[in-house]
Amino acid sequence: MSTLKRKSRKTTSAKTDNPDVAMAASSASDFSQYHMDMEDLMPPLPEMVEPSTRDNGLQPNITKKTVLETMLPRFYSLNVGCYLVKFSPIGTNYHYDGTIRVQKEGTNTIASGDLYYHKPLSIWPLSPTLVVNRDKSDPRQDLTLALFGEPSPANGIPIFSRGNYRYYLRITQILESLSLSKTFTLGFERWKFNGASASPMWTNEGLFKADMTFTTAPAGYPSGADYLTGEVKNSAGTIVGNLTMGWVAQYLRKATVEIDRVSNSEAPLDSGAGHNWQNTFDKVGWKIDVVQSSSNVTEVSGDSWSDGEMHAAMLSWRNAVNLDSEWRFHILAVNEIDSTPRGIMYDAYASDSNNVPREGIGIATHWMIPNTSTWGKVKGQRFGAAKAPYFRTALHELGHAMGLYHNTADFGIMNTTDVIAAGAVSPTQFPDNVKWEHAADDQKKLRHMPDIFVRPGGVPFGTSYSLHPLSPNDEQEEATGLELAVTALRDVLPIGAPARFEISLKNISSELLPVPVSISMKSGNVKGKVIDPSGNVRTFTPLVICVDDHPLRYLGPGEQIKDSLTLLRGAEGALFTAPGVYTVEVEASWDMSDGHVGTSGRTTVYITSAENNAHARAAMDVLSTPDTLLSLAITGDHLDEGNKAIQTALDNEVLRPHYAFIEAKRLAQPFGRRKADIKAAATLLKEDTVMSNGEIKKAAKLLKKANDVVDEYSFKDVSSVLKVLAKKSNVKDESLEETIASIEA
Amino acid sequence: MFKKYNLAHFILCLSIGAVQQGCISNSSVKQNKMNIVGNWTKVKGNACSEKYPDEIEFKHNGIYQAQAANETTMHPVWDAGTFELNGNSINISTSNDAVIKYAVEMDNETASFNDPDGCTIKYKRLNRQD
Repeated sequence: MSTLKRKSRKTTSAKTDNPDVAMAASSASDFSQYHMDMEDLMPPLPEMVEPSTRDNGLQPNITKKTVLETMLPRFYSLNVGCYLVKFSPIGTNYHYDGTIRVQKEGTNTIASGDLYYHKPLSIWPLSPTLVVNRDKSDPRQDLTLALFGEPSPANGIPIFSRGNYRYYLRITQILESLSLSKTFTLGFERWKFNGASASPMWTNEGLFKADMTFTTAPAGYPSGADYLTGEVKNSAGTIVGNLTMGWVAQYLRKATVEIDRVSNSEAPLDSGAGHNWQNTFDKVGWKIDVVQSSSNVTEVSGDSWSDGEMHAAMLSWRNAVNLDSEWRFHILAVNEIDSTPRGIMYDAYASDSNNVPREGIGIATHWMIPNTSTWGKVKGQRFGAAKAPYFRTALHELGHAMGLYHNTADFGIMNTTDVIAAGAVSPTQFPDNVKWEHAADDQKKLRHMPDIFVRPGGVPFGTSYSLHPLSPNDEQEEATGLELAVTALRDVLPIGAPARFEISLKNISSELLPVPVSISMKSGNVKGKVIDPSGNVRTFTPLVICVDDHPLRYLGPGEQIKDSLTLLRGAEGALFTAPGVYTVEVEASWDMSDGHVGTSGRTTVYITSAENNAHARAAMDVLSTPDTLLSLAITGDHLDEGNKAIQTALDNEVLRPHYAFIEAKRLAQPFGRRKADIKAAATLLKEDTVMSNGEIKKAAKLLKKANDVVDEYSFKDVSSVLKVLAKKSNVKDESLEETIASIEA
Repeated sequence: MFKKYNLAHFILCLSIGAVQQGCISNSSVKQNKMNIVGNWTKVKGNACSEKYPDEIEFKHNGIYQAQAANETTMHPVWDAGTFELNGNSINISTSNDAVIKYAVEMDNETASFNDPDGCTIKYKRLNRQD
């Protein structure tokens, strides 16, 4: 599971191999502005080493990389996976250990957490660190940690005792995408668990916020950079404790599945068509260790087992287990089951001999599948021999053991076998219509429902989902009274060209309304999606968010704020990949004190086919090169691959007008020891150059900045072109007119 | 909620005294199943029946789909699965996949199920799917 953070850091290398999944979409003007602004923040560049001293063929050429690393800022992003958490309330001699799970879904970051009470023993006056022989090189051997009962980050996802379970963290605010700031606000509701039989089972203790800051992890954490600390404040703003969180695993949760079976029953291990325990649970971020244990469980009273007999067999035959140190589920494969033909989560209600719910399931291998057409390819077969439906039933029953109920939203894991078989539509036959994953809402539950809901031995099966807290997706309230207009600069574009848009947020109400100061991409307030002619959805988000604080202002009735954005690539790759009509939906959203609000607008653009082979090749180059986006957004000589793709586009007469400003922008700015070359940039800008209002303003700013060094001819040439382009703009922008006037002045 | 077509069809069946597919009959399992096919709503008031769904639809193909009210604290014992009517009893697969046998009594408008714990759950017919 890759991480945005790691990817973003790759952009700091001289020759990036930034993959498709890099966060994408940009406002060229925004990001070039950002680049300019960053120059003031950067430390002085180190002196270059003379070629003769380094280019000896023996030493790697690292100097350039060092320079670039110094020049480019560090981006901060939350790594996906499980974080070990410690919350220390102020003024107490105890704390809470736990986990926070961070998941990215498209443009959203969804997170949740659980806290377990921990009071370290202090029965001896001397610190154990003074007397214990410690092996600091391996935290798993660090006896200090063991003495205090602290979880070791080196052991990955920690497991805590059910008896110490106290809180669910319903995380409502967290860092999305990338940020230049090392601090962000973590907002969460703290839900106290009152007990499985208590009413109410949960109490919301209110909203808390913590300004979490990236810092270096202590020894033992697998990723030194993915560690954060912050002070936690309650809704009154009072500091109530300290929170640390450090990344420990790419998975969100982990469990063991132990399989015992009678001698002539098969162990459900895979579907026979590539689906197994791990790759099914990879989709929900669970690490599953499968243990094939006893293969000779004896039958008690004939071939058919009652629920009680299966429970007794689980207790008798399974390996030693402590559910407070391991999440272990048990599967018993038998010939037949009394109460059901195929499978059952018999261990539902904590009313059995050990009063521990949701530990075990049973599955029957000798049910004969009816010999009717409903059962498709497996009709008439013995269930255990029909690998796909047999394995699916095991997944289904385990889903019940993890707290899930039936879900008929699709033909996924938690639908019932009968419904799926009856739902096959010719020519597809059962079990080919099985969807080998959990329905979307079940996936979220497996990732983010409270530990005590999903772990074996937690709350009994059968409580309504609605009783339990669950972290939200990005909940957003419609910003009524505001209208987001999206206008394509060119609504017909040749394939391979970036699409430029003017966006404006207008107050159409009669009241003053709070809006963000900026709706630029870099503000972090704008994102969206592109729907291609086949209905596929691709998302775009800011590549970099330049501010951590997002100030608001009031927008008067009839007033509007404007900006431009340029789209080329998104989280799922190139956004405009084939000819046809594309719908572009832009969403502006921002945080208010009590929640998240936003509004959206949409427009369409038509992408035309390649006009000739040369155009096709150039389009292929820019669309298949992820770094084209970086060249467009960040700009710099170091982005070799992106700049090369843009050069290919410039060499093509169809795409040239669409990329001319991007190259001109690069040339017009100094990079390293290279000086700004306004003259070369000027030769690229023509009256047919495609530039958004934002890009025209940016070009004007660069031109004014170069006033002292540029020759009069180039200055007049460029200003003349900008004037023409501004006049041709299909979106009236007063600030653009002011900018052009200021050049003339 | 009672579809006009169904009502007219039902009256027509009674008036000609026909025993045909879609009309009431207890002569076979299949026709029994047809009898229960349709949408039902729970008659509330019995505390022990709270764990059963508020709405349930029994379909022609032996599959049912049920829904609980939003404010319920318990996930319904019947949520989605299969049913099979056998004379005066019905086997219904439950939320943990156990198939439970219930005694059942039905007339045109109501159905009463008796669970193994002795609880009686009453439903009122919303419509019939002949």
